[in-house]
Amino acid sequence: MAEDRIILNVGVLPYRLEKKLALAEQLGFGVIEIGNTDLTTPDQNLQTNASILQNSALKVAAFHELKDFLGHPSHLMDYKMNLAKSNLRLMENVGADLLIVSPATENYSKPDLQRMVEELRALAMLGTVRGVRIGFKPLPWSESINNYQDAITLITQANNANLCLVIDNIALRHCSDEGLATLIRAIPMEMVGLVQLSAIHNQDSVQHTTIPTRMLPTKADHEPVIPELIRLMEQQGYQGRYSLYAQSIPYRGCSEEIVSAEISNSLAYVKALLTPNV
Amino acid sequence: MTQNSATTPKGLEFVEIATADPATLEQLLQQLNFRMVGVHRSKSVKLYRQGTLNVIVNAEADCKLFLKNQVSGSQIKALAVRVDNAKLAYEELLHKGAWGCSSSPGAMELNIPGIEITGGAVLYLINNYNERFSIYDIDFTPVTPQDQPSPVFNKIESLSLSIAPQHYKQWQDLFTQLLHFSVQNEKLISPDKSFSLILKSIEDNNITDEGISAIRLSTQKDQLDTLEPFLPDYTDNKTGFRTLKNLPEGIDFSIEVEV
Repeated sequence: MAEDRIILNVGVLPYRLEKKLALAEQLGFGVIEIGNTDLTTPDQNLQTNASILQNSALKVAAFHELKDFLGHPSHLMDYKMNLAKSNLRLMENVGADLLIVSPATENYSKPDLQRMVEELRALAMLGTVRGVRIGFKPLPWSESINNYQDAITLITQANNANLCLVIDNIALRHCSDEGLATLIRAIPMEMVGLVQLSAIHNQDSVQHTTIPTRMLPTKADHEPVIPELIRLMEQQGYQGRYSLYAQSIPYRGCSEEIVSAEISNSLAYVKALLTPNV
Repeated sequence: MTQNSATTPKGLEFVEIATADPATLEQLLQQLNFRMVGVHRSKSVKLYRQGTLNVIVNAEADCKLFLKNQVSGSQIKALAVRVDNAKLAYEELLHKGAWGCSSSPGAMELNIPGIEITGGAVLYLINNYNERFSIYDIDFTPVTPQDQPSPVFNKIESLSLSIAPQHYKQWQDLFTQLLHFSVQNEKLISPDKSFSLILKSIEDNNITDEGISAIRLSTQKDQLDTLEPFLPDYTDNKTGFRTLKNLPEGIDFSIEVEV
């Protein structure tokens, strides 16, 4: 069903965790994406938030994000792997399926592809034991893996069933020189673990894709690539999930009614794009 | 991937069974012609042996936490493989993404490195010592059994790992990429071909049921009389082995026999 395939990144909701989860459920979501900042809040500790999440009826499909992974000197990678273990333990406790991982944005030496393959495979192994899949997402401003072709190469060479690709419509559009159709057709659909959908205002600036100006995609905040991306993904046989991936900053100060309406509009918009395939 | 690396297993050293009811488990082992040959110097742990097969019976309190049935259950908790250099193997495995486990040794006890595998079970790494030294000498006080019946079982052929279907390929990749097992007819064969691991999908898809679910032992036709109380009337034609029946309650794993 379309509802099961469209999930909400609860980070868009500018509230305490309990209220985020309650509102997500109220708005009809059974599955969510959650981030570090949703669980590490100033008002209560991580264990408390993790318990709240465990007791919620919502399923956690994805957790973002293990940032700045891959492409570092080895002593930094030891630290990153320990960080990954902490993330994976937390995810195992809350029943999350997928840990999203992105590459380093600055490298101190020329990135070694073979070493990155081994590091990604090692992360996949860690995830296997904890029952968590690893979703790799390239970043356009990374000095190592900044496009989907290289990301596919990396995942293919790592050759581990616990690895998958995360597609972000914003990063995808800015990463590729090729037409969107050519690019999507080059991605094996079974490799895709999640598609994140956002709309942004400043579409000329690549850097601004990490600044919290990501908004919920709706027809009003039209991101032209989304309908075509979904059409191509579905045509290619993608059966996974789409995440309504936005930050909370644009919605802070808005009433709960307005925020709820925006989320409902976004859900209806994406659902309509998926409808032929329901 | 090299077949001669530090992480290449070279035989199965022992299987460890965690138990909340050691009396029942030990009675079963006796009926299957295992005999107690060692008692741990400081823990509720015993060593049972039959021929070259070693079974550790672990009734320690912290081991019971592993059990689904913490009142009267027994489950296979670990297997130990021999490697050329356990320390190097352990370091290499950690570097490649394994989760390390401690055997929680006491003072002056053997520290056996291990990695976590399916369902919280452990794969221990044992140095491939020569015949003059046994790893059991340090931690176990030897016990001479009252009798020493002929072995019924020749070797441990395989262990079955129950896996949630969506994790099947992931676990296959872990054993092939970390430990150099090879895939053959849906079995994972150890690099030295001395034993195998069989991945079985859990029907109800419940991740909490993942773990080591069965042990398969080979025997000779003339030993079947000893197993008679436990043998079913039929052999599974497809697999060629028999799953022992009439096991005591609480034994939460299957014992399969291959002739």
